[in-house]
Amino acid sequence: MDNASVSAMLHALQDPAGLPAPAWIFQYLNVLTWSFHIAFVNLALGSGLLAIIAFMRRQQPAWARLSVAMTGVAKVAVSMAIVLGVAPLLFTQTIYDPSWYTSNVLSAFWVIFFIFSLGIGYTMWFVFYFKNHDVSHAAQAPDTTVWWATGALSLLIFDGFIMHMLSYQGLFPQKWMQWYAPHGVPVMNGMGIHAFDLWRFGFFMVMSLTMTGVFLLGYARYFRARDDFPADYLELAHRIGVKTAYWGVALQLVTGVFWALGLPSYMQVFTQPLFWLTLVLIVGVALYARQVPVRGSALQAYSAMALYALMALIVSVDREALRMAYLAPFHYDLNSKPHYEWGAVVWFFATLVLVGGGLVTFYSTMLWKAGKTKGLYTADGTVSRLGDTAVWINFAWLAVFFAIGVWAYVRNIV
Amino acid sequence: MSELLGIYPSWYVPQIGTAWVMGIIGTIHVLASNTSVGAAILFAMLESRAVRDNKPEIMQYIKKYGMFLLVFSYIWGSVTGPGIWYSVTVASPRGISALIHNFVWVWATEWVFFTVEVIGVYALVYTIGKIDPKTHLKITWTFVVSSVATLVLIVGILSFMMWPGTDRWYLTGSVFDAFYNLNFAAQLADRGFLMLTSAAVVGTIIVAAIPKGDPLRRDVGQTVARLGITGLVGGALSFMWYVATLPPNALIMLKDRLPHWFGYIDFRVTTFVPLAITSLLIGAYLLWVYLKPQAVRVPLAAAMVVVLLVAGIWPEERTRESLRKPWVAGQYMYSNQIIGRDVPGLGIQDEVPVIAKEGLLKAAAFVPADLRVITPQNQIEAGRLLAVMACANCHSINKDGPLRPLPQLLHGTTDVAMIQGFLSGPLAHGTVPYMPKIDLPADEQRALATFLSAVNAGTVNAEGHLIARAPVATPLHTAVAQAADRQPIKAKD
Repeated sequence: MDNASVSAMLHALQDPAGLPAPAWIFQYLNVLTWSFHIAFVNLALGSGLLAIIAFMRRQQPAWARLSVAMTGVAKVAVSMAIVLGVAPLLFTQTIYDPSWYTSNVLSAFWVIFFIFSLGIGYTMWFVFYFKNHDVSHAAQAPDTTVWWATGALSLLIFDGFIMHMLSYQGLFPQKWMQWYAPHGVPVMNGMGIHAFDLWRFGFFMVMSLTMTGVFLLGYARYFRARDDFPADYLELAHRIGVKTAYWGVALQLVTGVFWALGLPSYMQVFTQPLFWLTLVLIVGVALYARQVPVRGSALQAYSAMALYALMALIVSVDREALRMAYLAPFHYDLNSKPHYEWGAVVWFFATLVLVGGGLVTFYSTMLWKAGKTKGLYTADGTVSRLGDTAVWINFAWLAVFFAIGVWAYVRNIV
Repeated sequence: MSELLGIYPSWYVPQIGTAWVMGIIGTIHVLASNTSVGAAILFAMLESRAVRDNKPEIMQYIKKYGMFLLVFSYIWGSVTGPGIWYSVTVASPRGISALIHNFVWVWATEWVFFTVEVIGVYALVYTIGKIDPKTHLKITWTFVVSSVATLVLIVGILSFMMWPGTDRWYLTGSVFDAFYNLNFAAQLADRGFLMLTSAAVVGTIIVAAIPKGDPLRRDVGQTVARLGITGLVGGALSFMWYVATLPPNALIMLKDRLPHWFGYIDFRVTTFVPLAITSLLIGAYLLWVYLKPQAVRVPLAAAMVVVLLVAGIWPEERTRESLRKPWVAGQYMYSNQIIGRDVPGLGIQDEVPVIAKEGLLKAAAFVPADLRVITPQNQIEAGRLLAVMACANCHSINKDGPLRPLPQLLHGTTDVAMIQGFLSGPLAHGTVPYMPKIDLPADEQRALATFLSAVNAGTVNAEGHLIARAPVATPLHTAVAQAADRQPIKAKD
């Protein structure tokens, strides 16, 4: 297909209902929420891998404890990765609907496989968690227990590959028709895996080590407040954190450079400031992690995670910039069918800031303080007021929701 | 090519069709998510009582149910939630695209509550006994409202799929007119009540796990049973309200499914009686739990969850899907991804006239160049592609497929002219109330009819592969005689 035909096809595939807000809002939200999503994907896979490695050394108490802790971290991280993945999934199909839907249909079997394998993988991880969640019995767990974890982790990594494939296939609209009907006859079984880039996929996978490394620095610092966490255990966690972040960064550099080398020459990736900024940030995470002392301040330890978050955000920007570059020859216009409705935009952002902000502040403050307390935690004045505010905000949201409903309902029927 | 229609490639699933793939994933999700929201309400009731009456032992039940919920609802509910999106994406990409582009801000708002809900459930379960009861109760209440918010937000979208209820949305295109539609409040009430029942039935598994003789069994068991029975009674009443808010095409479908005393004339009960039996069975079970909480056992409770899933939620969801036929969204997008009416408020135009003029194969974006022009050589392949694009979303093309199989609906005829007569008559004029208006040009009608007759003759299978050489057309009188010999075969859901 020539570029003009591809351009016409993309325009036809864009939903006729159009966009209810300027495309840049969806783009920004997509980039931001994807960085949240990948952070938890990275944490789930990295802590999962570490849980397995530590399980193999569980005869040593510190390693057994680390395995139990990382098993729990991975369990929660998968939940968060799933729920935070909903937002970029939503915004992607809003502005890149032709790419996302076509790619999915062409590999439909794998899309359905993803759903069930994710469920099975996550269930298997829970089985591992139930067998490996008690520090006092961790050393006695039979060797075969680890198969639950390795099976789960393998499925989760393969699910990551499916997501990579679906995103990547969407970048080549000029090839979609050929993939759909390779010899002029449509192949409609959805079994095809048409395009992938192992360097790109590998880059996102090894980022898991970087994330888990900086997370461990924060973890070791956080539990210093608890006297039931032995110092040698926290030192081990810190040391492994630095080492893991180092490996993650080194592998990110290797996979990232090979990924960049494989990009189309017209993109001139090595002349782009964004490429070099990304490189500096990746290296920066390792250099920063290296100089965080074992008994350093909270700011020093948690800043490593902040630096990772910044790096993940810039990687998300890279991803979006690449998508625009891939689609540029076809003049894909995100804004071609506008029908803005600002009331709905205000509704969402008000909910995000007031409800999301209010409740997450309450939960995180309460959990932060409770986690540092051995035994029963009694809320102080701040947490108590945050809790009251969160409950009131929630009920107020419901009241506003139904008030708008009455207004719209009456307007509809009169 | 004068006008290109943005119709995506097709995914074809032999036998069960894509509709059942969506249905299976959707049913699992409905059980998991219904249970989650209903359980949140149950937790708030129980925990408020635990704090008020100083009964900390109740928290042990909440903790056990919460752990169970983490596995049951927050693995499989979380996975099948986006899973529904994924399955609809590959089965009906334009349908989900229509919903996404109308409701992106509603879904984004729902995502905020999802996130809060996931953090909330972990906070709720893992802080029992670790933080003071009053603060914990605040977690529980925020979790409840967030869970309920996810329900109210998704119901607005689901009810719009049935219909907007008035003409206003078509003129304004406003998401508020679409969301707060005629069907919304009734469906919200119906789902709200039934999720109490879901949570109660699942909750009896945890009741059964409480040691026998423990007074907590009676205390919690009776609360759970009361909640479930309230849900059943409320669900039955709100179902009548729900029926009163349905569009005319759905009421025609309902005639096939409800007994006459419900207000409709036919007494062909394909769905209502099984659902009524399931409701009575679950009602009787919950009453028994209320009276004999000490007698409940885990295997029986688990079996009742399976009954709820297979004999309750599955037929209920299938019926709801069937009722909105031939539409998939807002009565402007047909199930087969073709836009069937104008929506001036959004600048959307009816595509049926374009297809009637140009042909589906010429107008659709994803058709190989060789199949855009029909020749005697490619007629079967073109006909098969038309069958998949226009029919397979609602019909099995296989002879023995479970989803309203076309060969059976055509009474096995191999008469091309007879099939083409149906295509150019009732189907092209849109006079079958639960079918889309599919107005194809004569050459496409003939190709589709030729393919379907070949499938009926057994010379070609549903995948378009040649089975054996045999004449594909049968003389008219033979086909009529064959059809007359057969009993009408009722379509399966």
